Amino acid sequence: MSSISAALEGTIDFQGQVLAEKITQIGIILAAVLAFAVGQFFQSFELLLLVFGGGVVITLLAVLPPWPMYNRHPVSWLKPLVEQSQPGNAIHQLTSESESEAEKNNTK
Amino acid sequence: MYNHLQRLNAVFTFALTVAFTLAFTVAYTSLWIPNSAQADVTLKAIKVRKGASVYDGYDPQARRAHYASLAFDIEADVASLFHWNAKQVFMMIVAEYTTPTNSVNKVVLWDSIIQSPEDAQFHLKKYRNKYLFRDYDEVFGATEANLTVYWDVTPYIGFLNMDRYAKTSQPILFPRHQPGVNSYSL
Repeated sequence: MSSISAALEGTIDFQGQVLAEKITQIGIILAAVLAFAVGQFFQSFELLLLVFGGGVVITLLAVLPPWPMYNRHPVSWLKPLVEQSQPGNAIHQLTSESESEAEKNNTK
Repeated sequence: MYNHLQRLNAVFTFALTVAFTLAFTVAYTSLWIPNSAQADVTLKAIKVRKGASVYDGYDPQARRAHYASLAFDIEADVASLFHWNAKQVFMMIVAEYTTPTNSVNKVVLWDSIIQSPEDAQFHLKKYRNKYLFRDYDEVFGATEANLTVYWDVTPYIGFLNMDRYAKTSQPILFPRHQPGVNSYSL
């Protein structure tokens, strides 16, 4: 279930986000310049719209799916710290605390 | 840019911004495209008669008004107005004159919408005015009027700007100022 939602979410890492932003801007501006040049050259407004639309679709294809190049720098998190048990803090006791106690019991 | 929806949103909004800039560039640059269009109108005949118009039956003043019927030749070549951003050309013939009571009078006599460069070259002979020609006063207060061709390029995107080909071949002389006749031909 979590793998399906992750595939739908399509997350990318921070470096990938910078890259995707850059590709979006360059791609769409390039599409606009090319569209104007082609429309002017062939004297066709229809061609201008087609070239610009095509450029936007290509940019979407390049940016929208989480391609591997956007996930080359995964964030490596620090290992979770073991926290001391505190009265009334049920969440800590449930997760890290109970596991470490179980480990201690096993070693005994 | 974090997930699918955010990337879709970012690309779409940026594309819209760029599309607006592109549209403005097209609109602005197509204002300066030169053309060699020309249109001539030549008056062939004019008749002024007094009476009510079938179109103007509810206007009590219409019974006493003078109406002018004109026949004119139109020779036009406006194909060069069709640049890449031109959808159609609106063309009209306007009678312009001055009377003692109103300094500016413009009456549209005929108009046409030209939708392709193939239809933009024509020579129409002895065309009559499409719309009624009467003065704001009941009788023509002017002695003469000028026929002018105006045109208007409707762009796909951009500004409407009216231009005119101000070569009036000859002024209309209203026949009531010629004693004894109420019409004449050229």
